[in-house]
Amino acid sequence: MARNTWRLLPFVFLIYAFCAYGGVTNPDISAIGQVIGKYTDDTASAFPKKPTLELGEAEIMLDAALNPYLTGAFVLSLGTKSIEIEEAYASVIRGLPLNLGLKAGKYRLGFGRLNPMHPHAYPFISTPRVMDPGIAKLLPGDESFNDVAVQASTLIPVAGSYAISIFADLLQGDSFHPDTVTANFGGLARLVNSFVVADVAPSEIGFSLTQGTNDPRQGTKTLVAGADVKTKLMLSPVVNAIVQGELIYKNAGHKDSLGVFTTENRMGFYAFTDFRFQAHYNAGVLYEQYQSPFNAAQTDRGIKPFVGFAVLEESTIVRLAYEYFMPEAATASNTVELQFLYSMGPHKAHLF
Amino acid sequence: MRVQLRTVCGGILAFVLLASGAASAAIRIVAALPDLGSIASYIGGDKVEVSAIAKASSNPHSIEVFPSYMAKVSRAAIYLKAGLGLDQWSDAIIDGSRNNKIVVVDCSNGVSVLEKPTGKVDASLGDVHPFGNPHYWLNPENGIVIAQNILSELQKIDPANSAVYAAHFEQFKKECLDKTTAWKERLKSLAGAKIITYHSSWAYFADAFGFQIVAKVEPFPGIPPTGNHLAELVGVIKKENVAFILQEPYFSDDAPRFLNRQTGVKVFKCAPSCADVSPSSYLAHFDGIISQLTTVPGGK
Repeated sequence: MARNTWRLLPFVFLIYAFCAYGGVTNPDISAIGQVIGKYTDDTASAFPKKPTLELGEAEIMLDAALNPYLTGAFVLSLGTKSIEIEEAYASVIRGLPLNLGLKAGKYRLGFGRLNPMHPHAYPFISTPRVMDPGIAKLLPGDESFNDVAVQASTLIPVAGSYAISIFADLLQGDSFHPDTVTANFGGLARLVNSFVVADVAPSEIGFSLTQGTNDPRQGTKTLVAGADVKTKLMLSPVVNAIVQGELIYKNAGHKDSLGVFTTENRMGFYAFTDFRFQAHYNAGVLYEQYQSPFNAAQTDRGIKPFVGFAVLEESTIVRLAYEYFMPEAATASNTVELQFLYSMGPHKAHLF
Repeated sequence: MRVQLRTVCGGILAFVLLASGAASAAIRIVAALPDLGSIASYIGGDKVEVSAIAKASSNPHSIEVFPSYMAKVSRAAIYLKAGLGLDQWSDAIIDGSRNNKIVVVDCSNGVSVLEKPTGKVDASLGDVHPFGNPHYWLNPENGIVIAQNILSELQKIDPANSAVYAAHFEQFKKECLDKTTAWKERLKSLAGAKIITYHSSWAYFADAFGFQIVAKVEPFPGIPPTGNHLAELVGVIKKENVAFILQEPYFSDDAPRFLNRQTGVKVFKCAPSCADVSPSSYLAHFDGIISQLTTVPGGK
């Protein structure tokens, strides 16, 4: 990971140069911290049947307009013993023909809905297992699908509230083979249909497709396809419900040392509903299931109810979540997590 | 087969162009709030096509940025921003629209801003607005300032119809001033009445019609009321003889109901924004609020 961080230095200098050129000396600065208390009886965890208190991942975000056409952003991820550049990118927001936008740098890739979000912005505490590349191994990467890339995007207004957004990313491709560094470009395409149903339910249906080289020596490739849906039902002026789900399919080719080619096919999905009351409270439940990364014939399932209370929007939040995880090859486990999350900095717009 | 494909593609392209209004000649205006949109409809008349992002029932502080809003703005000539830090979401919508030609009008220009904080402004004050109270459209006289801002921009963009817009502005100004005089007359017997508001949305309204805001249901802007704070409010209502509570529809009924049960104080649930962007909506909104308030004992 440190290796990747050093490779980002040119982007750091690039953004700094833009800032200096534009006379920008004071970007918006946001800092997010959290404390997570956890108890689990999962024997595969580091501390089974023992309550723990962890300082979760902290983040510092710096962002600013670089000039009337460009913005820049840094997201630094702070662990207790390391600092990592999680994201560093510049975006062209206007000035290009055909409603085009451009983005370049390192960033959480826009595959589906949850991957581009930082976990603190989820209504629950931890990333669903199916979306965690380190657990279900459906998405490329280690903790998230994150790579150095260049993105072109456009927004096509169609009719009424219906609009289509198209994104195309050229990836450095290291997220497909995190253990080796080679120049094996990958690609990502995403199409999002946005519309409002009956004037009360903004909705989006998206499709994502990515491909990259999983073993540069053998030249084998991984293809991941996804479909996602999100809708927000305005039940009353003080209550709304979000329904969201993603389905992921992975096809990966592998060659062993004898040159024997095998293919790996995996699938998984999650769905959740989250009710929000009076701007301060939320409660919901998430269900997920995916084919085990170790044996495609086995299916792992999990169900996770969660509640939250935000004192002042996203600046101070307390969340409680319980997970009942049912791996087919092992005993089911129970996990309870309590999160206290705080953030400081300028108020940001809420993206759908 | 190739001909059929060409026909289908041509049909789709024609539909997209027609649906996106490529042939429309009216000046497209997108307003952050329906109030700004309603005034724009009045000034622009049939020369403009107006839509709004927020709805009357929405909390204008926290509008979620949705791609269809960006699509709407991508086709607009003018964006009417509320300003004073209220609609920071407008910037995300405007940036996301990638509309290089759009003119952004900050409708708060020229408004006498109330409740400008002094000293250090941070979250210890709650979700306070560092530039002052942004709910300025709730004073009808500020409606004239908004109309003036819109007029100036329309005259720049469409000088051929400058006189038409100016005539509409004069008509709006007269109607607004006449109605304000009539509303003040209707509320004369309540002038100086002490009131409580849920949030700080009603500062300009109170200023315009002579009400005195003695407390708020929120202990700090954006913070839900605590038991202790509600107990204090019960004391304030009894001591100050509070005439009524004004509550926005997007806040919980629980606290105002509790105060009503404890003290008998009347609670009015009023949206701080008008219903839609039709030309009459902005002034009709005041009509509606004032008709409700005149039901308070002592009102006309």
